[in-house]
Amino acid sequence: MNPGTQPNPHRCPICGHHGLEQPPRSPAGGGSFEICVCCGFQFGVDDDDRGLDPATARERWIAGGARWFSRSTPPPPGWDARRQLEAAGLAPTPGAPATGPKRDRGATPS
Amino acid sequence: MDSPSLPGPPRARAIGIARSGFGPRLPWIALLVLAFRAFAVQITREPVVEATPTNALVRWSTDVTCGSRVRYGTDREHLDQHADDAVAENHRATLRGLKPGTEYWYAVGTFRIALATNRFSTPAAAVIPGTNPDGTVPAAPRAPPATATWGNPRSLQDHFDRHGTDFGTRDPDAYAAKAWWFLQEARAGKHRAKIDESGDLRVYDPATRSFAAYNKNGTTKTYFKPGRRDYFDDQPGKPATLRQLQEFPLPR
Ligand SMILES: [Zn+2]
Repeated sequence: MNPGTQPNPHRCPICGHHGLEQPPRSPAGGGSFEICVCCGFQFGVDDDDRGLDPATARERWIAGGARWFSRSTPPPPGWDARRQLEAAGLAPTPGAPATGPKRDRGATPS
Repeated sequence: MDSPSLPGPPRARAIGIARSGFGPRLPWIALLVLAFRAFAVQITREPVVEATPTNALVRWSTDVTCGSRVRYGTDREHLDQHADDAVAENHRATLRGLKPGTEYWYAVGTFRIALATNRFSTPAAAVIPGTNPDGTVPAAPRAPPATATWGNPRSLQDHFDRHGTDFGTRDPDAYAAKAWWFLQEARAGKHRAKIDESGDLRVYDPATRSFAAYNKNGTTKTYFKPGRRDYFDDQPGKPATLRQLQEFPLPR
């Protein structure tokens, strides 16, 4: 199942993907521990343990090619990182790299 | 006894003496300052103890940066063991190898002095279904399949890709099984554990720096080794009691 099609998905504040199953942080203040299938950011880990703020995490993801992270959850058909960032108002500069549905590890979508 | 005759008027002599003595006196002044600081240490947050049947974590704060030492023992007059940790203002030290169901006296302090003495008791070792009376986990049946133990089985591969190497596991199923065993150990009171207001459990083993979070139904949210030393302390929730841990669901 593609989380982008699930009911009431939440938007990732890093990459703008509209597919988080839970809000990034719980009302108690902790991270959800969910890993964004798109950018790979883990809420409660990359921020609380590794000290990454959303802007820095986004910059790194883009600098790394803005690739789809998950091997087990494939990107939606026609997924485009730049369009996703722009739609979410998260595109940092007009020069943000446009990437198609490349995969981090070259795995075949399941 | 003859005083050596010094040249010049008395004022000049006094200055001369002060100058000639300045070099050798400097280390003494520094030592005095250090000694004063050592004895001037004040506790700003009273010690808090989190005890499992065999370990206890002691935390306290001081007004200045200094060493962390907990002296402890079962006889108040003979605190014959100690646990040290880093120089800090917010201190912590872990006492290991304690006896279950035993009263211990302890004194927090610096490497040189004790600042405050108190006592705590370790809880009795719990006899939990699925564990031995000493809290060890018996060589037991295989872990249930990851589809039963991992909260969101679709996400398991992603968690394994990010954290599987933390535990030397070769595949997602082995990684999920290890997280399930970690919960069993937590239920036996072997690790630090917190429950937040939504009922989720967070478990941390300082010895291996392993951390896991579990949904209130016992399934695993994540399992990894944080880099930050205070990561678990900064997590929400209150220390879980042994009873809460015993009653925490274990997927089977
Ligand atoms: Zn994302």
